[in-house]
Amino acid sequence: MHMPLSVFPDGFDTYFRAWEAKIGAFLEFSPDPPVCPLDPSISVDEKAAAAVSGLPFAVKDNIAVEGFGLTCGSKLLAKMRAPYSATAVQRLTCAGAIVVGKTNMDEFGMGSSTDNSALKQTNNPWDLSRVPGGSSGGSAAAVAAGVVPFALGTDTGGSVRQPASFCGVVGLKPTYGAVSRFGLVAYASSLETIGVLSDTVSRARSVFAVMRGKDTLDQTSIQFPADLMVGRGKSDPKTIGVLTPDSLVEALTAGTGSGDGEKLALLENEVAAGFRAARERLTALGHTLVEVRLPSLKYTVPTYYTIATAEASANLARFDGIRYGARPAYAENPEDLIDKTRGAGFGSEVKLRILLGTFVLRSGFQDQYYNRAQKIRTGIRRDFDRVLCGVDAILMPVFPTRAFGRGEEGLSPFAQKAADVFTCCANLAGLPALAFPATVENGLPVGVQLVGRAFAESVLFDIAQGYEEAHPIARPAGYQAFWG
Amino acid sequence: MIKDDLQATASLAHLDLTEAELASALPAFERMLTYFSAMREADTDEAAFGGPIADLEPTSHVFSAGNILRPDNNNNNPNYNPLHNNSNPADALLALAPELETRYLVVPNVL
Repeated sequence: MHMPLSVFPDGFDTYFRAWEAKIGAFLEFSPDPPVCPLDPSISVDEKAAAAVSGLPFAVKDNIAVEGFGLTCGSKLLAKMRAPYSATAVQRLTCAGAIVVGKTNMDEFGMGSSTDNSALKQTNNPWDLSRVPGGSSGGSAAAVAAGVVPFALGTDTGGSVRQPASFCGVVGLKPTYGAVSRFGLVAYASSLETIGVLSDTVSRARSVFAVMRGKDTLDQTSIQFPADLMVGRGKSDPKTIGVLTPDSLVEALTAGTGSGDGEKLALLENEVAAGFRAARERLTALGHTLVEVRLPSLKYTVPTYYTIATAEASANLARFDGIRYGARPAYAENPEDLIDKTRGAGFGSEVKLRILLGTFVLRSGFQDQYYNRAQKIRTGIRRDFDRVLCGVDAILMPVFPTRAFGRGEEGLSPFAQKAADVFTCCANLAGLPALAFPATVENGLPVGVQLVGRAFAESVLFDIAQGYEEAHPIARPAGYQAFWG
Repeated sequence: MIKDDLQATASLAHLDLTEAELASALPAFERMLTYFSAMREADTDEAAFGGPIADLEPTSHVFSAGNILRPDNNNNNPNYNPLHNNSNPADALLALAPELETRYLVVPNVL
């Protein structure tokens, strides 16, 4: 395998192979990446461009990169090749960063473990018997193992932040619209954003500074109004809202029922300990922490899944064996061809979500589900706006557990969904959220996240960077720092 | 939730589900719909929303700028579009087809 020295340092080849054999983060890896034509009209933040120039990076396999596959972790798209690159990728390559591979993910971004990938299993670099989180699990595992300094992921309900927390890396879900979605295979268009997973906070800031910006190819993209202060150091003291302990418990248990003995993800002791440590350390760093309540939080998960599945049922209609997708060898008629393609191509979680989304949009059920969810979404936005009037950011756990295991040690698909409560609220409200490693508890990383006002990513970076300087990010055993 | 209802939904969604798949999807489907029904409590939860949610405007997009249109003409389209700017986009797209005869897509023989 030939690797150009400009991208990969000495000794990297062996290091990469050893890690990849254990974690399986990549669906495709190309040490000699294809050179794609650059769009001359793109101009990027110069300081940020200098910080990412020459660095290799990985891209989740639902984001188009010309010359690479675009499987979305699905059998249905196993042979799909991307005919062009996403705008976010173009902006990074214009800045001199180099795509070296595509990472594994839950099929179409639907899952919290990456085990819903139809193509490959990815393991957590901290403990190979555990999942890396999801759906951007391949990207998180690759960054955590140090085989790339950063990777792109997508966050629809927590799919950047949750795997970042499970793998002990930094994960940014930007403000909705701050990064163009052109070239991202759509799952839930009103919720999803392209985000960054990286080894350090300052790297996430630089990558985001390069990617953001209005794009004429995505009408929901917005010109980013604020300076991101690339290269900035220590943070001024901020006021940070923290959810009261009883709000945390209420949010996790609301509406889940309890009669059937199913194991639900309550706040794990280690996660509670990591969260407490983050509170204490942020206070010690000079920030003012105040307790806040978000009473709407208990409605976020049902609201999120109603909206996300409804949008998915519409977005995934294009995978019909005619426009996209491997079709069957034989079909009775066009309807049969579509049914057979989708029946054979989609995994069970994708089918379940399409069924739910189709159901909530059926005539007669719309008011009960979809329309009501859209109104609750407005209420949730207002609840966040109200709290963020008084504080600069809200500190929350990312996920109620650390990286979970498989089989008996795992979480049921329902328990995984109910556990999205702390992440999916930022997607419903369109707000930026930054997950960063707080502590390591019993051998596994625990992340926390800061949710901020729209376009206030800079504030979140400032706080997290101060934390990181005082408490350097821990790395898994065998980690080697290759990237300056 | 009745199995027939799930079957009807599957048919609307163009999903070809076997009996076994239907049977295994049913409990998960019902479980999620029961969970969704928790949203009903929000109707009267003034503590959470400061008033009835029926009075709130629905959110379909958080920061909607409304419709943005471009000139409906490829020749003066100011947008960068990789498919249009590519010297021969048709070739790139045709190359993705599973089966070709010269420049024609081969499709199953359906009536």
